[in-house]
Amino acid sequence: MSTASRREILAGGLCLALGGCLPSAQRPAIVSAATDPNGQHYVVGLAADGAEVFRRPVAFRGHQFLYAPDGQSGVMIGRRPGRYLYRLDFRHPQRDRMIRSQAGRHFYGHAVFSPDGQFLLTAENDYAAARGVIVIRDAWSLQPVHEWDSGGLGPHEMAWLPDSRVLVVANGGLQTHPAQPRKKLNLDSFVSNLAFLDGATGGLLDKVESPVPKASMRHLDVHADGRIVVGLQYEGAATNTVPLVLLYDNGLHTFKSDSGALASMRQYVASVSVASGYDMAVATCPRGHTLTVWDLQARTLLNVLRLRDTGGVAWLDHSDHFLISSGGGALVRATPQVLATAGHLRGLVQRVPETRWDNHITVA
Amino acid sequence: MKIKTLIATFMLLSSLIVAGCGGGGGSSGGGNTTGGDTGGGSDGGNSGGDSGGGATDPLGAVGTKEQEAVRLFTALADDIIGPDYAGFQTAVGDMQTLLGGLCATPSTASLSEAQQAWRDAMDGWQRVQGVRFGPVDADNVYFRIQFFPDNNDAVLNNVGQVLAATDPVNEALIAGSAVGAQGLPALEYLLFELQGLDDPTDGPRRCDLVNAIGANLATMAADLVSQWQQGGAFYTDFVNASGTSFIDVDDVLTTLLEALALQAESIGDQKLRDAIANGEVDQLESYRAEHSLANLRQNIAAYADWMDDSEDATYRVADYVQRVLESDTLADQVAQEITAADTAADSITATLEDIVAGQATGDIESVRLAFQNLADLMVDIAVAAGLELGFNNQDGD
Repeated sequence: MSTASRREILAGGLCLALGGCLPSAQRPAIVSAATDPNGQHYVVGLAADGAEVFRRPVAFRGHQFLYAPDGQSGVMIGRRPGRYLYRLDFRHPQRDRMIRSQAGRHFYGHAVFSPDGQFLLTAENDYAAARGVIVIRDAWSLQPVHEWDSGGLGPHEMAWLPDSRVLVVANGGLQTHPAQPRKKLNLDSFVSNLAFLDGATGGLLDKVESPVPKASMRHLDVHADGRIVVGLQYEGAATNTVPLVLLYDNGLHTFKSDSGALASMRQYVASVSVASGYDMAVATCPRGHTLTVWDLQARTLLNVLRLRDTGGVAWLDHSDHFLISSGGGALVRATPQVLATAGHLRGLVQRVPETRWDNHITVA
Repeated sequence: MKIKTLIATFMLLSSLIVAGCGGGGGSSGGGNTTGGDTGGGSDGGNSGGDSGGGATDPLGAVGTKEQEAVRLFTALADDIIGPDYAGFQTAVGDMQTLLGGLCATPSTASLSEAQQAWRDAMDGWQRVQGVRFGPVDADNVYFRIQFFPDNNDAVLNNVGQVLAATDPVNEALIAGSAVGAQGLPALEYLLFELQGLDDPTDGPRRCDLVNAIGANLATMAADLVSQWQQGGAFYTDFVNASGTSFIDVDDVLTTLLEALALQAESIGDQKLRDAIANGEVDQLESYRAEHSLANLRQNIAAYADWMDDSEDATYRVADYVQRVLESDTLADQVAQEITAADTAADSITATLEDIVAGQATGDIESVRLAFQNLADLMVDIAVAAGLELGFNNQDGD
């Protein structure tokens, strides 16, 4: 997911208030969790041209990275069932620190900063109570100060609607427990939903269940006009072909697509990103080794492109490109026009050796 | 595995050092690289090492990584994959003819002929079962040809549903039916277990189903052959590492190694471990026909052909490992494991079904272990080549 414009505006304002931020050259333009072939995990920062700015080893596998509102740091959230957050200081690595989850809790890999920049909201599992929670943390110390019910089980990606007053949470619906870290405990009965929470109180404003049985809504991105693109992961029979990208627009809607294209997604969307100005979204499907490109106006699938083990995708608003990453170290920059019409991505792939990019990539 | 990974890492580091000194052509190296068009590109060639290459090599001088890769892809497509799909198509065609004869004149003899034709078709399929990419990977073709493992009795249930319905059974109906009713396992159930094709009441519909499954298999086999024959759509993408199917040679090579790893893992785990551990005969791949050991032998033969067919002048995966990755060690380890699997399988005189049922003995465990090791070795080869077989696609979130 990318909300670069909003964050940039927010960060810029806070930077002025704080008396200045890093020069843009010192702040990485791109950040992602990564792992090398020996299994060492990193948080990697890149310049806009892909040159490496830093590669800092971390003791856990990260998932989503967020630029902090101060403009000088960021937070990596541990991948499910992650026990850690990692606060990263771009200029002073010695100030980096790791924060452990509370007892009985683990992270789900995703978080957002509050619109005023005062808090970090983390999606967490209260696994003893089998309850999804949004933990409100002080944005600087990252210590918990409050928590909300997420509105379902397995809260994953979340985002603010354009008015910054409503938080939408993708509750995947799957019950897990760190004693069996990757096992899904309620596969036969789970229900996934989009929960709309009051950003001031955490109160549940609305809840929309997945129209696709046995499909877990995990990732989302919000259009500037408030529509939401949702990526699903299907837990049913391997031979079933189901919709894996939905559009929330006063209810959840499917896109027009053919069954062969849906089958090529292999029941799994890793990440979604919206280009509001183009009414377009890209969803990555690492199990199918495909990128899928969606027309939000016509509600139709535009194109399917091969990129092996693709995972992260983000929209670069300032340069009108999507940035896409893969577990094989690939970075692809492509315009909406190319993604909508091309037959292949050859010539657009930049590879970073010894680097398995994780599922999400974040741009400043 | 850890030791092998360390060896592979050492080999990788060694190759990087060599590359750094001599401008070698490994796929991994310092700095970012920008992918471009593929095939015939120049990346500095290979400076030679302890293996392969040289003027006396029947395969000739070692070319660039891209050139060597294209030689490998072309050889695999021309020598193995294309002919094996053609063999499968022929076997399915022969089976289709005999299924028609069986239903025209049901008898013990015609049933026996049809059963043998099924065995031949299954043998043909087992030769190409490891090709888990390309056209077989689209539209559930793989599962439509063979749905396995069948942990929920999909074959039994899906065939039963078709037989219990009343709409006319034809190829179109079957092609749109649940996968359990479509492929070789469905035919196996009908020919070896349910039978009754001459039953005055149920026989005609069973015959219609048998013929429809045969026709459906023939259509799928024809499409696979069409796409994999020289000039075919997927063949062209595969050997040139191009088109809509592949980004570059690394993409094709990763796909190949992933398929080989997946097949080895599938043989070790799904075909053998699960049945052995549970003592459940019905978890074997072709238990109704008692053909599971024959499947295994075809798998071993196919795996050996892909890796190294012992012909000096034909390019195989082991040649790429030796010539480009400069690792005799990995090539030797692969050869040893294939030999171990082959030797153990040859020593088995009973059926797998009897062995799993505890009614006979046989060294299945050595076969299972060999394929488990082969799966690890494919990962090691990928590491040596600087490739990633699976990260987000294996364990995302």
